[in-house]
Amino acid sequence: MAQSSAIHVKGIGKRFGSFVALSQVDLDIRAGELVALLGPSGSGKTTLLRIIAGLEWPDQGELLLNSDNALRRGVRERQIGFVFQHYALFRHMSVLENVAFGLRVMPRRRRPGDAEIRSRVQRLLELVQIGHLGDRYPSQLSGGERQRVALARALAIEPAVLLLDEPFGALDAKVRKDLRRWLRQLHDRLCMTTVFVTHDQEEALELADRVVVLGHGRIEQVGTPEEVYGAPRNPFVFDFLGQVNRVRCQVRGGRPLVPYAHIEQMNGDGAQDGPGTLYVRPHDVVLQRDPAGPATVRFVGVVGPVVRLEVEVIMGAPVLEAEMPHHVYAGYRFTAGDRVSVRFRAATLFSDVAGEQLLSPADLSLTSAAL
Amino acid sequence: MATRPRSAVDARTEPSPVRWLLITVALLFVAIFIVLPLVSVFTEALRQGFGAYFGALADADARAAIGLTLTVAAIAVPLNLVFGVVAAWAIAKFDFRGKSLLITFIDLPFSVSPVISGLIYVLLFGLQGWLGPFLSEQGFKIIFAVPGIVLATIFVTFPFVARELIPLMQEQGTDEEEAALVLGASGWQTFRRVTLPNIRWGLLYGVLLCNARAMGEFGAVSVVSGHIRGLTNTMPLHVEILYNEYNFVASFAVASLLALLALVTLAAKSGIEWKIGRGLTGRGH
Repeated sequence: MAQSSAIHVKGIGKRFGSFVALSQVDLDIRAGELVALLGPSGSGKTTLLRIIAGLEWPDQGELLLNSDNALRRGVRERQIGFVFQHYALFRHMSVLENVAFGLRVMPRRRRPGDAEIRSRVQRLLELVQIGHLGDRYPSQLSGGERQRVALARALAIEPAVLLLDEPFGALDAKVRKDLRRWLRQLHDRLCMTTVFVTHDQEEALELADRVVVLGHGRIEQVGTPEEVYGAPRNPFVFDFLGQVNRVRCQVRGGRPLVPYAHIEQMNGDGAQDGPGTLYVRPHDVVLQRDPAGPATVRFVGVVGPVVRLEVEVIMGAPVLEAEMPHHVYAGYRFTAGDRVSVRFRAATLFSDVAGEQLLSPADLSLTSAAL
Repeated sequence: MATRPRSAVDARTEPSPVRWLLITVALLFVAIFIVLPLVSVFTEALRQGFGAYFGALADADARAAIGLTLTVAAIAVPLNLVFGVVAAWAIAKFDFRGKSLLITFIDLPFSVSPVISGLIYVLLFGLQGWLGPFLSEQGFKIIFAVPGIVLATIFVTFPFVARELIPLMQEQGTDEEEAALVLGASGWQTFRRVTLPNIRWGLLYGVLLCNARAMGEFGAVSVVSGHIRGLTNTMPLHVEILYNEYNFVASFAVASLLALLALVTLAAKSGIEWKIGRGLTGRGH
């Protein structure tokens, strides 16, 4: 029911001039959920976040925050905690004053006393683990510390929902991982409805309860990380989430014609006859040494958590990427030039939609999105 | 000892004869065109001793000129301060039709000769002008009176504050303002607590330049003032009148006040630049 959701978005559309940022977006976010809006740049994810906050106004549709019509309220009245991509800390104020800002600008009858403000701010700074930095200025902080100040400032007004725009975008990889884990713990402690925008699939899959995949201003799929990664609903989601081999093929009687590979499990609900594309994750490509096999190993990369191999199919020269754990690889010891047979443990077939732009015109190609 | 790789140093600096030549030329230029005139203003003013100097400044007409200049600046600078902030705010933080036209108009006083600016007001408000007859019927006198001088000064000095603030505000963007709004601040609270503190040094800088020009403006004011001693003479005009009367000591005495104003402005300007520079380097991100 719409009534029970913390954020209810229905039929939201937004244009900037001739550019359609969002069209007919429906989304329900339950109270206490941690949701990721995931998509490439230009997919409308930040616009959706800013519409929820009230920083942008939709051209049509409705938006309820805790069952209350939010489009009747301005950004000031929505009580939203918003963490900006570059934090937008007030550069002339100390950390303490930054966090206190939301309390200090309250109307006099609701505003807490000065001592109360100070103690609340200090508690918040302790919560985000920077209790000792209250007197510093934003320019004297590291990226991760600024991020925490921005979060404390957003939490100070006791927001109904917390929105974060690319919260880890401006941090380096190491800090990013730590903060991600920390944010998850903080969310579990506060149980606050939280929505964050990201273009990093790893971040979305690791952190969120549910992932909303956006593309071209539309929602492509909504689901748990397992659902969107394990069973992508369409080629866009497949391309965007994780690495995938894309095998162009002809479809006959609902089956793909791929003469060089055996397919163990076929997913996808009945593709029509005609041109189609088979999506195979690299870890679902199984290789076996076979002197009469249809493919040749071209490259073996043993650095990293898995062994990566590139395999060239002799007929038609397509290149497949395969991945296997080190202990499996140890049983084969493939080297470049080995002839192999190819098996797809699982593959998903989609009909080529007329007019749908594919990233690469090659008959068979490999894409790795956002890695 | 000197373990620094010489080649790296050589690549970054010119050979020393070139360096010395450039420095000498620059210093010579500054000495001839700036230091020498400045020194001569003060020597001429003090040629007959401090008694004559202060006597010249205590003269009733000189005091009236000083008073008028201060009055005009006291009206023109605050008005341009408000206008400059409003215009810069509109240009830097919003997108609207005619924005580039507005920017062009703000630059207009810089590109038009001050004499022309003065003439525009004479054509508008003079007795033969468009609005002159109507205004004089109502009993308003603008040309050859203080209001005309104020108008001309405002026109000539209005780009200073806006020009100083527009790039600063554009660089700062609207993120902090948006953050303030989300946190529940009203428009006025956002301006007073976030926008204004962020631009305060740039604003002060602009006001300083605006003030220096308002007090020193000659051309536009000269056209609209009518040069009535004790009534519509500002300091720059008074300097010219005294000089034309061969009253050199008095003329240079008043001029020395303007020169002093310039020196104070320069010092304050450097102080602010130092302050802003420190803020910028400390800002990071």
